[in-house]
Amino acid sequence: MDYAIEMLNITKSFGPLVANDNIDLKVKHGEIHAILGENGAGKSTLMSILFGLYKADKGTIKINGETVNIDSPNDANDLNIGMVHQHFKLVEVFTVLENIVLGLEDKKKGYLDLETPREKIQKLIDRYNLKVDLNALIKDISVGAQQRVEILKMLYRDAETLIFDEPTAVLTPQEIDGLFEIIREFAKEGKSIIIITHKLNEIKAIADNCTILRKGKHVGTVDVKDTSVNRLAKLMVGRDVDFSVEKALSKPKDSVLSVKNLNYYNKDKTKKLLNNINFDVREGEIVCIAGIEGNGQTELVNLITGLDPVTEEGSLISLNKEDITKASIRERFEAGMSHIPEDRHKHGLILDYNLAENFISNTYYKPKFQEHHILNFENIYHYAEELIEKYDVRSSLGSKSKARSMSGGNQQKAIIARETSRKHNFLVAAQPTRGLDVGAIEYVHKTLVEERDRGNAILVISLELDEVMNIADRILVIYEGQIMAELDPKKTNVEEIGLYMSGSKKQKVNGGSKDGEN
Amino acid sequence: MKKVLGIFVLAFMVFGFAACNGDSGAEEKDWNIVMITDVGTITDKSFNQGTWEGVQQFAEDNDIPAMYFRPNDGTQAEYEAAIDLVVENGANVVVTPGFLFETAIYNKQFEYPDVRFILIDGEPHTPDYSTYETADNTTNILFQEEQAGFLAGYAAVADGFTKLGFMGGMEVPAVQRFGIGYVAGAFYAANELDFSITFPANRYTYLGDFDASPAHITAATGWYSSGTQIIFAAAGGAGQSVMAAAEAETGFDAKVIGVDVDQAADSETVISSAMKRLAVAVQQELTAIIIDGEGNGGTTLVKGADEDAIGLPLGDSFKWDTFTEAEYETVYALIEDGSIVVPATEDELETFLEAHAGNPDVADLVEATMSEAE
Amino acid sequence: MEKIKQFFSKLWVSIKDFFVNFNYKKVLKIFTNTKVLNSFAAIFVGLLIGFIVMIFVAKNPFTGEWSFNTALDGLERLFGGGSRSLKNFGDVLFKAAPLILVGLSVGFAFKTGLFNIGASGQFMVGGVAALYAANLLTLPTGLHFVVAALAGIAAGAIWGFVPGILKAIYNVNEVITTIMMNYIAMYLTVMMVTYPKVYDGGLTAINTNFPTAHTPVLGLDKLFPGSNIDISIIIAILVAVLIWFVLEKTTLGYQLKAVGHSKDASKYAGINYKKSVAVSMMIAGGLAGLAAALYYLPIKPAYFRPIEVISPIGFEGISIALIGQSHPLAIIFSGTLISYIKEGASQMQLFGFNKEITNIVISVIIYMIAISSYLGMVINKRKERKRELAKEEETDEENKEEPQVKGGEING
Repeated sequence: MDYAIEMLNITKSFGPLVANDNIDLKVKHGEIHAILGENGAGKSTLMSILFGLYKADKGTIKINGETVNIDSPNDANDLNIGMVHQHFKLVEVFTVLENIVLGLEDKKKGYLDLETPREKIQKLIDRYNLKVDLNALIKDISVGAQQRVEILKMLYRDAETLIFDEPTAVLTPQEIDGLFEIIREFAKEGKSIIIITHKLNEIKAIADNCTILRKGKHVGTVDVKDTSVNRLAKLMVGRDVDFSVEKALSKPKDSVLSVKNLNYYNKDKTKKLLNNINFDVREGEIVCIAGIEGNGQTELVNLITGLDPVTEEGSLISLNKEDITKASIRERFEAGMSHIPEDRHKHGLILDYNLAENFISNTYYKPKFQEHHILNFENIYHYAEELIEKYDVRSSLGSKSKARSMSGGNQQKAIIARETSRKHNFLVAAQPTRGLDVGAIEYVHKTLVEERDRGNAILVISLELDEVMNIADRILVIYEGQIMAELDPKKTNVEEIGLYMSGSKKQKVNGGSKDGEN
Repeated sequence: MKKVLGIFVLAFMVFGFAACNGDSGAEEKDWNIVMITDVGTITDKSFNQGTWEGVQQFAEDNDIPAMYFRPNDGTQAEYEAAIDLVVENGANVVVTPGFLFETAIYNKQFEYPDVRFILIDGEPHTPDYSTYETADNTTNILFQEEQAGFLAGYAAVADGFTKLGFMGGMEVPAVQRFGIGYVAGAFYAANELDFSITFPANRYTYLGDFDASPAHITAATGWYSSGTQIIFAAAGGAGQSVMAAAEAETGFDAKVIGVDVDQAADSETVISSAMKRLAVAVQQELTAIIIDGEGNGGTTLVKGADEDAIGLPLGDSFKWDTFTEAEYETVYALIEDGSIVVPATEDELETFLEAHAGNPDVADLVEATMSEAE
Repeated sequence: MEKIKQFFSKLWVSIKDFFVNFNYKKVLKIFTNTKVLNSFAAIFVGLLIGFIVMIFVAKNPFTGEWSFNTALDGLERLFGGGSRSLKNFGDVLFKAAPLILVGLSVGFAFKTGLFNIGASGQFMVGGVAALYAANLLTLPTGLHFVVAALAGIAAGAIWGFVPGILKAIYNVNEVITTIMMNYIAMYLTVMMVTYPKVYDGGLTAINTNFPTAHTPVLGLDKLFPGSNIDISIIIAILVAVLIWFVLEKTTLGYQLKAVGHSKDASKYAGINYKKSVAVSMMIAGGLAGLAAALYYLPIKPAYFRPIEVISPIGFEGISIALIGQSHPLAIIFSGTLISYIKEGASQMQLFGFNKEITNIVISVIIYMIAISSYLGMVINKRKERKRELAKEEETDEENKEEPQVKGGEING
């Protein structure tokens, strides 16, 4: 009778696929309980059942010992269950206050009353230090603030059980710390917290207990204090996981990509987004650009790859000694550039094209794939089969699967397959492991190192410091559009990088590549 | 689900193709009148409606079935298809209002010798105008629009209007005749009654189409605001635009003369209408064919005051102020007995004005009535 | 030149392949495809609702009394009117040709991510251009027709190019620009119709007497005696096949569709987005222009009158493209279907029905298709996703024993 939430023998299948197979979950009052699993392990399905989005085929749910029926999110609300979804459900053009009261509006003589709720919400803000401007529009506030709005929404509805779905995916390290503070505060008050995640360090940092799911099955529930990160990983993946990336010492040779005096402003020229950036990437090395999201990384990649035009005089980008500052995207590809984009869905894939068609999206005009402007489907599908085989891209219909229907990991594999199979000697990889599970991350890291060992120059943009430390041969830290430091991963540590990332420290010598010999 | 859909599809196809072999079982002996409409609807307050009223009246009076049919488009091909269809369905009198039917009737009168055609406002000919021929089973009915126009022009001047205008639709012969008669009537009255009137050449125009449009409202508004008191709108639907302009005129009591049928109901501003009594003409010919058993096949009837086939509306729609019905009857009688021969072409108009209207100095206006080409 | 020859030989081979490898199972598969079934079901429901409306308004045309039999008679005509005789069916095909091409114009643009509401305007300028070429040029029979048709295509293409280039360079929404181009086309053509050298005062339209430029009939009237059929239907079908080929088999089609699916992803892939948009709109415009040529050049053509009304055919094109779900080959059928229903509806008048009932039927069909294709899309996506998940799991199982996996299973 101690448990706040009990989910017993939950089974849910979608057609032939059993997403949840006889799963138990028990959460006490005041407990922070993590649910760990790879993508597709059934975490989200389980939480959706608890939140009333799906109905379980079998099994019972008890709240405070009483069996309940949760048919809709409204029922969940009535039972004081709240959830922060991975993708926030906020109305962009409404204010924070309006978003919080949305669905529970108070009325005064038929008019919307925002003053009574405002007081209540302000109290919550003060109590939990959830700093957010109630009058700001959602679209004007940061992602971290948006998450605080979602949390306030739950609190405003008097939630006793709080579910967080991948809450740290969008946050900076500082914001993550702040969030964990708040979550601990909730737990102290006796609220039950469920966190869905696949980040092991975070589980160690905050959770009391952890339920591990693998492929829809309940692998076990462990006490986090007594379990090592490696064991958690093993439970999650089903085998040992090697976090460190094995790689030989980098032996960089000639410069491949060279960026000189790169400046860039926003559209109305009011803000400098990139400030005098200078660096080189050489054959056989991985250069990582570390930084908190939104400090100019996206702009830098867009300028290098040609997605945005260079507008400032004096800025120079050259690839293999060739000036590509004004070159078209295709000319850059032809000059030897490959690009794994930050946004798989927006840029990386044409989601309604099948796998084979996506494999040729930037090479379809080559003689191998067309003759007299007529596509050679024989070669195209043959090539697709080759890549699928070589890169182990999994999908239900093979080369004819629509990209849209594939899992994130396999989509990323497909992009990597395309970009590394093309003739190139320079690869830009923007957040190549974003949203991927452990197995896929390992795969991506391994591929990047292989690329390097083949003598290619590689530029990686990453927000994950662990990743940067693992794969980089050289680290450039970016803050507010400036390169703050150039570091050797073997001679630095996460704390030092963190200082540069937050702008509290700056190297004297500004990012000249020539000083970067190691 | 798929199965159910499949069955529906199958049922639809079977039904669709089983339905192919319907045959029409109408008896040959009985008369069966079908009117095929010109461009526009049956309630166009104009040609279609006027003709249909005649057909309907006749059908009711004599208990003969009658209906109308709307082709998909106002083209020769569609008119021919419509004739095929209604004849196949048992029609043996086909009434077609409008000159657009000329080429279709030309072909079909030979193809269906047993069907009687009444073509209003036109004469059958080949598309290239090389051959005109009216077969024995076809009666053409033309109107002396100039007489109706003359009456309108006469009435307007006799009623005291001094600033006149004319807006025609497209420049086709029937519209031209309305306009020429109108000019003749106006100056005839001015001469006879010794009134001074203003009718400059720039107050005589062809709008280029028969459709209501904002552009036409603008044009008419321009005229009214520059002092034109009355506009004869021989322009089908575009007449509605002229009426809208007249209604909006606040400075004085702007007036419109309608066309083809009595348009008094359309607007308060319609003081009278230069009518072709389509209903009368059509009933006359239907009577000739069906009741008298003969008809005027093979000929072109030109109907005017003599047959009571043109005129201005009387009774409630006779809204003239000082011009009286008696005066109207007098002028009408003069046309009827041939004392006044109303001009129908630019040349005739010139001669007429010289001879009967005191030779006013309006050469520009006369020129405006007909463009040189065609 | 060699390239063009190669292109057409390839085209020929793939068409031949289609027929050589033709088997009924494939065809059956097409017809049991959910999309196709959706369309058929929608058409059926449309006709059903049309019938229900008819039952309410059924009146004996002579007695004026309500009669169920009249409704049945009308329905019979609606379903069967287009196939009562070879003549009727010939006319259905004759009138289907321009509809198919306008449908292709809209459908093609749609496949490439553009909404061509301007088919009407492209049609109008195409028609005037074709008629000008037919009236003003002196050329031998046959060639004259080809030149007139090309004039129509060129004018339509120019009319499509303007919104295309505005979208490409200034990112102006093509829906707005094509609508505005419709108005410009309307006033321009009204002006051009009354040019004395082409104007026929008797018809109050552009002269239709140009013996050398009429669409050739090539003896098709022998197959459908009494009808107005000419080679326009054959041209329409060939063009539909060509468009299908371009979209599915060529690099141009690959580019255009990629841009249609995702502007960002194609830009990333180095595809010239601006050029694609302009080219796509030009092709769409050219198709509408060709439709107009086939509409105004037959021996008994439609008349080009100076009426200040935007030709409604462009909007019919939208319906046709929707019913055919923008697939070029399906548009052949949807265009013919609309023509067929129109013919039937026209004949329904014999039983006292207003032919506007076609509009009810067509709009219901479109609503049904919109609803069913949306539902179909949702269902298909879910199915696909499930299949994906199942498959991934399956392959994971298979891979378990492979050597690259370190360590063993842990039992939870």
